[in-house]
Amino acid sequence: MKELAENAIDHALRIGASYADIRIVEMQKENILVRNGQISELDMVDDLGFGVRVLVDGAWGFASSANVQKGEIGKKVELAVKIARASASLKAEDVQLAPEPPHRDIWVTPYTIDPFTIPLNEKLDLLMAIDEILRKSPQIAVAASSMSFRKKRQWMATSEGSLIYQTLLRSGAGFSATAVKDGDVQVRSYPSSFGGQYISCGYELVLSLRLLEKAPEIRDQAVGLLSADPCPSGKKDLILDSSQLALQIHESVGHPTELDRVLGMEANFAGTSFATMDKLGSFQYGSPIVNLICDNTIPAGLATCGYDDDAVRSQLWALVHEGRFIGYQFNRELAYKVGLGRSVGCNRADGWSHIPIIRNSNISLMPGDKTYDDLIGSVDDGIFMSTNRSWSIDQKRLNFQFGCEIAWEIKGGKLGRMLKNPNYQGITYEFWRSCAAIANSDHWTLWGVPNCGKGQPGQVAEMSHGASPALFTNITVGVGL
Amino acid sequence: MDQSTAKGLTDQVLSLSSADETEVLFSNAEENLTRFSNNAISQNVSRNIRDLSVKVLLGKKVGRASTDRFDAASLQRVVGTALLAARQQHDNPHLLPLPEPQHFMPSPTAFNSRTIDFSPEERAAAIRHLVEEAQKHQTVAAGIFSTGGEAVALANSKGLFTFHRSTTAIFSGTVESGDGSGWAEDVQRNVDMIDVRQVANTAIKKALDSRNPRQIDAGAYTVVLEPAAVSDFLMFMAFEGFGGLNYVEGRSFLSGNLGKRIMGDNVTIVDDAYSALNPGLPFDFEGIPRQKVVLVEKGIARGCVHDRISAAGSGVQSTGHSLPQPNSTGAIPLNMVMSPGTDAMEDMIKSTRRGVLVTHFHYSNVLDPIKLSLTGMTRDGTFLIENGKIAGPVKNMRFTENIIEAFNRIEMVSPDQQTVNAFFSGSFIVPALKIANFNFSSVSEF
Repeated sequence: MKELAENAIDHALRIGASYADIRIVEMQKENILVRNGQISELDMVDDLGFGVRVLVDGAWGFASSANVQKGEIGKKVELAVKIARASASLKAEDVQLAPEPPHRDIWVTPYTIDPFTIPLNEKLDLLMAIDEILRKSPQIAVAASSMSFRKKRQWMATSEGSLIYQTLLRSGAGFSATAVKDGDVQVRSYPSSFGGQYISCGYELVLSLRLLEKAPEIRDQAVGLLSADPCPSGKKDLILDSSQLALQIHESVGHPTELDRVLGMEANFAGTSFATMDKLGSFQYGSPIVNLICDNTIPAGLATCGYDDDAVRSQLWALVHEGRFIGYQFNRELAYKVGLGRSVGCNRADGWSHIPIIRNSNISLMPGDKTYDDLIGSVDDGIFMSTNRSWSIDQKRLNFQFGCEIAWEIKGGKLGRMLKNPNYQGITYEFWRSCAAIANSDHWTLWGVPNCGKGQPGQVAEMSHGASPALFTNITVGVGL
Repeated sequence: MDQSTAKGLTDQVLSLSSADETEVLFSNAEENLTRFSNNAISQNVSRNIRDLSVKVLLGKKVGRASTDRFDAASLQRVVGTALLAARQQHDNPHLLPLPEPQHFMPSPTAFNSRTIDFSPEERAAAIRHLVEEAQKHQTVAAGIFSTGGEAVALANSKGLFTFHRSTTAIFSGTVESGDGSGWAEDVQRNVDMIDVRQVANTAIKKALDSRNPRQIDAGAYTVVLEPAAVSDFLMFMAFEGFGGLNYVEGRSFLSGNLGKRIMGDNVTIVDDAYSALNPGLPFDFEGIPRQKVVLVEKGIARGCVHDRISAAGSGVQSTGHSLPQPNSTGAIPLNMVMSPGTDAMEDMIKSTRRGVLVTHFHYSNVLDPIKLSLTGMTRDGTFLIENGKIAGPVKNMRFTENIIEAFNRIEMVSPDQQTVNAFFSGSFIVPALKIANFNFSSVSEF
């Protein structure tokens, strides 16, 4: 692989590139889903390919192929150079890459048990056992339990002398129960929606989740929601659990602080951002207890790696400090736009066939000083919502409406009746400014997001967001018709 | 990839399998896409991806494995992995045998070699036109010009083989002028049919017209929805309601309602891969011929699309709408056509005393799958209509609406339809609509 990569770089430089990189990526995936007693998804994926990125005349070109042979790589290098020349015919300015020292390194996700060594029948037996428990109630129309494993091996070489080999491993598992009665559809998921929990680690994740143990409770909650009262409408104090906060962070902090969005590079698809550069350093993004950091070095994070796809070493930095907006997520190409001499290292590609683009990092809300009981006890009239069910936010990331699977009423500092179809609506900075209390680190969880879409052609990336439950005051809840 | 090469590859894989029954699904896609923003090309890529998926049946057990490596050792390995997966399972008494060879109707051609061969220089030239027009008006353009195609072949050990190729070209532009924003898009099978000037003119005009938007109160308005806005609703109908699995499990707005009126009598929606407007795959991913299915006829719920599993649950035959099996989604329609009406968009506006014109929606999502309650934001050109005329731009608003109910309040349907790109190489053909009492639940700041 090293020789193929170095040949590609040499070839690109010989025919006119001022910069070139190549990533050769081998991906192994295993996706298993048991649905209503049957194997509903089962795919063992073995995928290999390469992508070549070049700068010619100050503009980008990229070409990729599944055929990792010397001749094919040469052809794609030439295509990438041809494409870059076409890009240069309509450029605003030359691309400038912020300096990064060359890295020659190996990086591997720490794990205990390689999930690809666990026999399929062992995994299926566990999923079938969960499925059986979930379907013990006749009102459960759909029981779904799943596991997902991904091992990515990437060789990256750049014309600046970086040569990096990384093995990234992540595991995911979870289940959901969908109850249906008289035109009402209610869902409960564990540990979270979108297939459960995802962590950069091995099969030890599955063993730690207590999936069988939790199945009866989750099933009964789904059935209970069918006869629950709907979430009331109005302005209420709102406590979000950490998994819903992960979604809130992703949509209302992560995407608006991606610098490519801020600079209009996603204007035609994902959108732009309200967090414009004139606000950096002065804008009150949240209340003074709100601290949000990016950390692509944190153990278990889905964006955690040694180096991003610009060959920049992973870092930790702040987006919001004591409520004040102080940072962006950016790559080597855009670092100089914020007057910084080095990328923060969040340029990542979806496999070998895509170019790297700025992606959300592992962004987390720092824990506060309250216990969970403190939080609940401080609310006289409010709602506690858990587990995301729906999400929608405008293209500048201001007006949002998020729905959860389940909620409980809070009256006089105590949790009360279960509520169905809970949702809440707001404006991003007003919402974060209303953050009145955050639970402490005992309640902090890092949640994996496996399905973040962005870019044209569309790319999917994975990242994690950590949070403890938090209280937001005077929020519009129960938005209906 | 041509048909004979695909046949050679699938035959080779079938010969390697010792399973009782074996299916090979092959796909190869090429995508060439130039992306621009701030009046300059910002990204420019060429992708060529391929996938070979092998499904094996051992008695009542099934295994599946995929690879993009086509050397002999890798093909042997992918078959071996699928067999190993099958051996490690318990019997599934509901597992269906692979289908026998089928008779496939030809569908209108969806392939155009010009779309495949279109060069990066030609894409840049088209983008230059939009950028130069945008600059003439002191506006800023972003967008894509995407050209490419996909080949799909399906073969099984019972002798079934089928192959299809399609191409797609998309030219899409968003133009910003201060606080104004406009968008337009053209989707064609043949790249030479892309109307770059029309996209440029429409996006620029909307951007200029939408400057200095005023805020209006949330609430119920008559809306005139351009086809791109309507397409969001059809996409969620496809996923949440028109599939046989949701229907069988009581999770669809069609459940218990076939033969009953669910929408206004001016609504007819069919899935038709054989329409000249909307040519699609003539087979599904089980190898069953894709049928034209009437989903809603003059407001009456007429049917849903099935794969063989949901068909068995409903006591009917598959309509040929399976996704690759096994899957948890069930069948979905890929080539929906909503029938046109007789009222031009100009007439919709003229007949509206007070309403809102929507260019398209952003980030719509489902609140209730049975009512098809959705929420989403307007984007890139939202205008107030007063006394039959466009009165000016308004700030973007969030809708929260039961779409099935809203489709009972459609007052006008346009004769013009627009092609909107969908999933699995499919596309939808949609008209513009005028709908009464459409609910906006809040307003954004821009």
